[in-house]
Amino acid sequence: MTAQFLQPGWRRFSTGAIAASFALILSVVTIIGAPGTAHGASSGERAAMKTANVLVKKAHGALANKGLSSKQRFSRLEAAVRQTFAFSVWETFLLGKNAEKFNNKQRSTFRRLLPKYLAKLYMNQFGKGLRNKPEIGSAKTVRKDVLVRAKIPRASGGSLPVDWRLRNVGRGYRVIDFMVGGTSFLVLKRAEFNSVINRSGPDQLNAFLQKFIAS
Amino acid sequence: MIIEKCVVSVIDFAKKRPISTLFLIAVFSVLSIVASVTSLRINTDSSKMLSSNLGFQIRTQALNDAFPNIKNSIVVIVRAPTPDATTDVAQRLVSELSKNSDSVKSVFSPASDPFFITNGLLYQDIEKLERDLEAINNAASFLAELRDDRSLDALASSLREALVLSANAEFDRSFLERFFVNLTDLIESRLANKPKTFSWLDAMTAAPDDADRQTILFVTPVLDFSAISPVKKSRLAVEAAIAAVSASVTFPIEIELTGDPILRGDELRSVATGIEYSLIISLFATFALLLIAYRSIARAILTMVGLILTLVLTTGFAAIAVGALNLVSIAFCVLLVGLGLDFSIHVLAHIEERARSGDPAPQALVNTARTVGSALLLSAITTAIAFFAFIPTDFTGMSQLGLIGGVGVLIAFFVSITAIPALITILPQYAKSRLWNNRVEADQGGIESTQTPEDISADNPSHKPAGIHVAAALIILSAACGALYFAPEARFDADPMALRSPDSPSVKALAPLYSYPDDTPYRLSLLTDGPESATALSARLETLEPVHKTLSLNSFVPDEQDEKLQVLEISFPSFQHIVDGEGLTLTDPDPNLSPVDSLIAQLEKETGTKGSRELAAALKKVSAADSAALVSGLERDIFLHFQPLMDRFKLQLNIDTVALEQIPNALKERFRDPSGQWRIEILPKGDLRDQATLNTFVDSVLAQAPQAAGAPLQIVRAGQVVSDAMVQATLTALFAVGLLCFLVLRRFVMVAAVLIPLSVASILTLGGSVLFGIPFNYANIIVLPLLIGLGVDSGIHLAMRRQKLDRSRELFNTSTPRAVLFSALTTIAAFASLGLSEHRGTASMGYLLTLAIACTLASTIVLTPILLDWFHKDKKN
Repeated sequence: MTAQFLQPGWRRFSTGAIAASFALILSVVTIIGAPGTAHGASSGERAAMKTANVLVKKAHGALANKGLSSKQRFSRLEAAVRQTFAFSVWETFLLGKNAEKFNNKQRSTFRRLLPKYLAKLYMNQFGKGLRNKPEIGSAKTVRKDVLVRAKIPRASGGSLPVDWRLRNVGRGYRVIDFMVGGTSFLVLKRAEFNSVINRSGPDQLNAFLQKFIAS
Repeated sequence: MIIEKCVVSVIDFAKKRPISTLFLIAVFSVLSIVASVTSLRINTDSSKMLSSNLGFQIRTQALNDAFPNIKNSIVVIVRAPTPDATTDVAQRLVSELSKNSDSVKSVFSPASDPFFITNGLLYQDIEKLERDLEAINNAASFLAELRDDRSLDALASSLREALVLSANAEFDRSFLERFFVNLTDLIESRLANKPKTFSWLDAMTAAPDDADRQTILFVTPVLDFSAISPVKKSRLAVEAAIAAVSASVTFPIEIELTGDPILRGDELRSVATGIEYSLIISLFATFALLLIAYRSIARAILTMVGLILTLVLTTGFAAIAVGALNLVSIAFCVLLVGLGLDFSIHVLAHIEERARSGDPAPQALVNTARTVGSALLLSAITTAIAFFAFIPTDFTGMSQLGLIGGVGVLIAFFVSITAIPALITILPQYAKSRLWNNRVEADQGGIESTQTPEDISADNPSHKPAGIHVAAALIILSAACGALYFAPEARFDADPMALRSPDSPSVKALAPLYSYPDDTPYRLSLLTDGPESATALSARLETLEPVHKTLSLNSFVPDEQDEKLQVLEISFPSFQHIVDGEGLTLTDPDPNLSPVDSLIAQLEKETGTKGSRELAAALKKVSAADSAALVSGLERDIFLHFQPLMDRFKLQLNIDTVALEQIPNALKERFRDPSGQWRIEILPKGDLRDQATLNTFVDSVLAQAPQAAGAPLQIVRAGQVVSDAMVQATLTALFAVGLLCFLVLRRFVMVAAVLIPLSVASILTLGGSVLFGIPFNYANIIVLPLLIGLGVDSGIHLAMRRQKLDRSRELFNTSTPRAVLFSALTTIAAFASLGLSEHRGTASMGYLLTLAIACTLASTIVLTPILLDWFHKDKKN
């Protein structure tokens, strides 16, 4: 039908052509007019939601799986985090200017610990009192990132609003922050990390991460 | 003698044609009044009191020409209890003032300018920015919750959720603690019936700054040069806007007006008010002294008539010759009250002396002209020379006073030899009063003497000064030695603020600004070719120790933007959440408890921080009161400034890299002129009201940027210019006066007898100014010409009278020392009352002139006769 629509003899009315035109106009209007809705999501938003779904399926799947030992749960969660998080962005934002204080060895240790730390942090925040997997709602492009909004049903009723912030880091959309009720864990932890580094240096930060992971 | 003949002929004319003489004087007086009313103006701009050809004056003028709005801006200082209230008031003022485009050209309000609200975070240093963003991040859900429900219940619920979230997410709770403390204070204030408004900006700021409770608006007025005060219409418009805003807000505010045009307006008002009172008091005091001197109301009135004629004629001359008086030359009227009386007092005193010697009134007039005419003319010319010596100096203010004062003295002399003799001719009964000289009469056995003191002196030759006279001379010389120690520390304070009344509203408004390094009123400016040279010079100047910082257009392009934007980028979702996100429901409150009671329960479950305990206690009182009015009042107090906070967050969503072109025009116009010149503003470290700090700052900046200009430079350089002018004028005056005295008196020793007491009086005055903490300033600097004028004047009278006597003791039997005494006392009476003025400059004029004239009087009356005796003794030996 589309081919017919593009042929020179397009004046011959065709129900298929009209339907195609409407579909095209509708999709353009939807994309321009309502970019934040899942229904008319941009490709970036769709890709971000796909990553969020992977995270929900794997990470929250692991957290909700009562048949697994805590070690197994953490291991699966860490794998999910490694798959969906952009650690380079986390590192840049978390350390800021203080990154210059790290030597190669300290940096290498930090990079080794960071995924485990984030997995542990994620588990601490979302692993308790949650009955169900998060329900992904909408995706919204905000500046160069996509915010994927979700609600996590709580065991006691009600839900916890969670936002994942995802950025296209070349190999697809990856999580660069997660927020509960608008409170960014990236900002919280950046302040905490900078405080430790400014007070005691990079080694102490690595020790702090290690202690947190082991807790 | 030719001088004597001239004076005799004038007095003779006045005696023969009194009505014509008085008619002519009346005609000139009427013309003078017309000229004064139609063309005389007052310019209170102290920068105009120095020559416009001086380098720093040329640079200042160039600066003012390039940026006229800066000098002419009306500065509105807004202070309110909270930063939110301050911004609110600023916004309202901008809105009100925008309605008055015929009086207000533009308003620049950084606190409420959308550009600075949007991009303000980029102007913070990175550490503060991070702390603030952390607070915003932690408060995001709490604020989102309140966006659509601004009730006490919603606040209680959201605070409870925030408490739980902070525990779960393990985040820094300092934001909540700050919030608890502020909220407790607000509740307690409302319970005490002293309601406050909640500061959301304070609560959202990690380190609230007191400076945020104050903001400055710059109003560019539409100047109306057809009015006496070109800024008056704009000032009234600003005052009306302030009144409207003050009436529209429910919280306490303080709005003050200052800035150059306002300060000058207030100064003019305080000078005028002060002068009115002083003039009344001085006229009464002078009249009282004249009564004591003459023991005759009619003669006192005659003297006052002479003074008024002098003032009227001199004012007319000033209107024609200079047009606009300045802060120094305006003092000519007070000065002439002192000097203008002298001639009339001497003339009347001598007429009386002659009348008592048996001369009928017409003969007394002629004999007066013969006896003291030369002294009167010589003293008038020497005093005028003392004033004219200031004309060629760079001190324009004093140069103008020199011209007016000099001519005024000649007018006073002219009045004393025309109007006074004409009036005495018409009213001969007032040639003498009751008892002029008791001592003379007592010496003559109470019988009216027909001998003049000159006759008495010839019969009793003796050169020995009285013991008390010598003792007084020793005291004065000892005091002068002591004063010599302090005299070198005498200084000129060229700070125009030092002249103004500290109670004047515009001065009071300015005073607190000295405490804020970023708002300090005194700063230097430098004109540069463009951005490159501005950047280079700013960098160089900022390395100087006395420089706090420099400001140019580049300063308004935030530094470390990439880093700051990256930090903002991280926090951006928090802003987004506040604007359109949802609140949290992490807990399940007890359905039997109200949200406030649930919060109380939650707070009590907490580990027991001081803030949470006190908030729980305050909330319990609210709960117990169970008053809808209380709740509604609290909601008003809490949420009054909430919407502006939301609006601010919405604007901040648009924050992005700031380039030079995006800076608001109102700001650009303050730093870049239409020809492309860039202005650098150089802010000092420390308070420039301190002389040493001021000198160090100016010297350091000029060493790096010799083209700098502005108020601090004017203050420092004006001090030097004035000092140089004083030295130049004093030397010129002393030389010219000395030469003239020598030509007339024909003897060097006589000149020395006139000038030595004057030098002693000068040393005493300089030392006294240091000892009593009265520095010289634009207002009281007239003490110097007055001191020379009055000193020389008195010295000449005494010396020339002494010439006709054999010994100094007889001098004290003549009318001359009394005339000298009373002319000095009337001058003191005229000036001392100025000390009561609220205008500091005028008051200091009163103190210093009283001191100077007292020194001159003591020195002349004590030392001149002794010196004359010694010289006569030498001559006889």
